[in-house]
Amino acid sequence: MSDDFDETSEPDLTTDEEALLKEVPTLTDVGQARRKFIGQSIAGGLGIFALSLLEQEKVLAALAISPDAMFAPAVGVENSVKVVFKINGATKSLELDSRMVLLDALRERLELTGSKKGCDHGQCGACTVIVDGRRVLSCLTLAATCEGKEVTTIEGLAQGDNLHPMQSAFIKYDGFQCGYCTPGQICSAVAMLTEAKNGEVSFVTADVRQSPRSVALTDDEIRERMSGNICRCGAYPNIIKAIQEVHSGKQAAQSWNFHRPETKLADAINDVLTKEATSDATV
Amino acid sequence: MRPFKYSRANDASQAVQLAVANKNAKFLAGGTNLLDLMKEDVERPTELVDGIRLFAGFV
Repeated sequence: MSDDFDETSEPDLTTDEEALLKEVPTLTDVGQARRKFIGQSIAGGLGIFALSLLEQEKVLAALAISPDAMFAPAVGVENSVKVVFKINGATKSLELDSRMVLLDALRERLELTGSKKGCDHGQCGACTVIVDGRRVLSCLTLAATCEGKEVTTIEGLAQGDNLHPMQSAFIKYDGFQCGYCTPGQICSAVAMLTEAKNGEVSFVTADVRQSPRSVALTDDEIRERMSGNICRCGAYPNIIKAIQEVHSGKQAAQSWNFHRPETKLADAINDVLTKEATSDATV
Repeated sequence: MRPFKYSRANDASQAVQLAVANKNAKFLAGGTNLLDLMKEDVERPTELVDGIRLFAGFV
């Protein structure tokens, strides 16, 4: 049909218009130089970045830390203090700045990073460790004051592969979510049970005049005594259950199991076999 | 925290002597309050006299 618009055909242009059209630069040429420049800049930048990374890598590799470095005397320290104390059963001798708190000494010098730095102001309890059987906030304890003392951290609670009962209970009752407060919670709980055993009373103890003997811990007692350890995930009910189990010594059956693919497969096969057996019986 | 000298007192008289010798010295009796204030630069002792073992007897 003659009315159809043919897209492929050239429009009818006058010679003037054709000349004008030739002079107009096509769109594909616009910004070509700019794009090239940007491309080159990016490539150059990446190259320089990679080079600097390689350099850093070299320098860091040259800075191999000797195993004795952490016990070396601090260089150029104005008020250095020598401290000898027992940490998780091993005697360590450190020379450190008088300002260093126990938490930093543990984490930075002794590579015991289980104790966590939460607030660094003694408000959260994440740094709780056990010193001479009592729980202390290692962020507010000068390492220098630990001379001759015995420090136990979360790393020192388990006996080899055998977890401390409190650690097992925390796993059993899901006493944590993110786990950041957990080392402090467990250390605190372990020392707290010793306190209760020794008959130390708390704010919520009904009769503080009773002769000092073992205090039976109610949930309220545990909540009060553990109030120095804050958990942002809100795992408190489970933490209380865990502590209550260790305190009572009565083991409740675990209500869940770790997922294992092989047991699931075995269950599925058993299911099929029992079904087949029943269908055979009916035939 | 500002630098300070750490001195350990073995008995009460030594603790008093150390504290008297330095006008800007403070007794350290645990530190949960003092250390916190020092971290915030509220307290600025130039010397801490550690009497934790001594003071523990009085509590």
